[in-house]
Amino acid sequence: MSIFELTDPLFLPHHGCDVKFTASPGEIALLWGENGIGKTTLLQRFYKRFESEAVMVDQKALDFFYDRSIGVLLDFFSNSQLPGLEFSRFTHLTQIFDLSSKRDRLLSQLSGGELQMLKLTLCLCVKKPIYLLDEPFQYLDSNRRKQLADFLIRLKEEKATVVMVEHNLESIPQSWNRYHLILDESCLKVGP
Amino acid sequence: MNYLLIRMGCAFFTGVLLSQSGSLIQLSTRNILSSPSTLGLDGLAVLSVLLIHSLTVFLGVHLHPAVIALAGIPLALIIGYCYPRFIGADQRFERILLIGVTFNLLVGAVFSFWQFLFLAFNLPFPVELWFGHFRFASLTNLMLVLFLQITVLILMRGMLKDLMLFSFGTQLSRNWQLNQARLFKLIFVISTLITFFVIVLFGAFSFLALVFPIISRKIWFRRHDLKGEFYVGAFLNGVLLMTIDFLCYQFPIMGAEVPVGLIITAVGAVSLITLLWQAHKPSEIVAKP
Repeated sequence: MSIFELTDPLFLPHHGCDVKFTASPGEIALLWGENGIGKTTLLQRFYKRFESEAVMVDQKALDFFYDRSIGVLLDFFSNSQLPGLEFSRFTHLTQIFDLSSKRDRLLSQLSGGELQMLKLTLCLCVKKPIYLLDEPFQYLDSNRRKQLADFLIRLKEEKATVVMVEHNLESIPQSWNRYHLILDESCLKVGP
Repeated sequence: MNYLLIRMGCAFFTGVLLSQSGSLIQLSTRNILSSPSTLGLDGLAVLSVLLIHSLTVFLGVHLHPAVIALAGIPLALIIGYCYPRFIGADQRFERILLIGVTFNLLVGAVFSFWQFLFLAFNLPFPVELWFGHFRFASLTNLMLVLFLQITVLILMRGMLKDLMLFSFGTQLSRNWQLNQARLFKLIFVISTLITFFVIVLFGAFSFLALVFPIISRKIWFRRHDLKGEFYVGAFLNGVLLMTIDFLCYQFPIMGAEVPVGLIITAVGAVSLITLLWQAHKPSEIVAKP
């Protein structure tokens, strides 16, 4: 796939408005704008359109049912030979987020940051052409933010398309393409 | 073969099957209040059996419950296949639960009215259907539940990896290309088959499939293990149901045996009320076990 774009009308409060947004392979596109403007909705619409080719990391990605330890999850991903698993990525993410030292911690006992790191590790180690990330830097400390940014640059170099929603622009490298979401006459517009 | 041995075998496998059925449904809906009873599958099965029974009475034929169970497989498959569509992507799952419980109440009313009509016309009526028991346990029944248990174990073995992945997270499993629609259909087909077989052969054990998975999760050494809940937990629940039935058999009241389904329904209903009472917020109804 060379280019993907979304021109569907969005849900409320932008019902009936056409939103056009284009991103290319090897691009990190950052969507930003006011709260409630429809950034996450846009991301979800992207996912709906490109479900089989995309990975979505949102707030509900790890809505676990059984309260297990991190070790159980890591062992499952290590040993289950899941199709599309990039083992080098998995090992790299486990290392940078230092998850091996937390193997015995139960999911319910994890902090927001730890849960975010686990979620990112388990979602980003699958090889797909598109990655849709909803506030991936949330809850992370400055060191981990830097490491995650480096990892996303690695995805970019592998010609993957990364589209993310982020509020905190300070920790985002300047080279990443930024798209400002604004409301224009009740319609959502995506601008540079 | 010794009657008591057959009866205990029937009770054991019924306990294991219903426990596994409840676990599967609770995992698929991510709601600890889900079960064949609260989703109305019990009511559907009872209604189907009532219709089949009425038909056989009017046609003047007698069918062994085992024949009805086997003949009902296609019906159970259709219901199980279509049920996930009925649930759909409803965000207010409590609504589905209320519909299910209310439907069961409706079936209860239909059941009583049907019973009244049959007794008025002096026709035979399966009064024991509403509260299950193992008084009429036979080798054929035991063989049938054993066959069903083996089938369920084979199917579970095939989908264990998918279930594990799904239990980690809904979106996470989608990212890994898990076909959730197929998984839900399989789960509901298994659960409907189990519910239908148990109700045809032994009657309804309302709320048992709701309470048993919760008991499984309370077993401390297997608490955080999916396999533990499906195998060890379900095994222990089978032993529990077998023990309760054995006590009912050994200690009749005024010469009459208390149906084990009656006790289970009472305990299950109290558990359901307790769970709802403890949930102060709607989100706590979908509590992590």
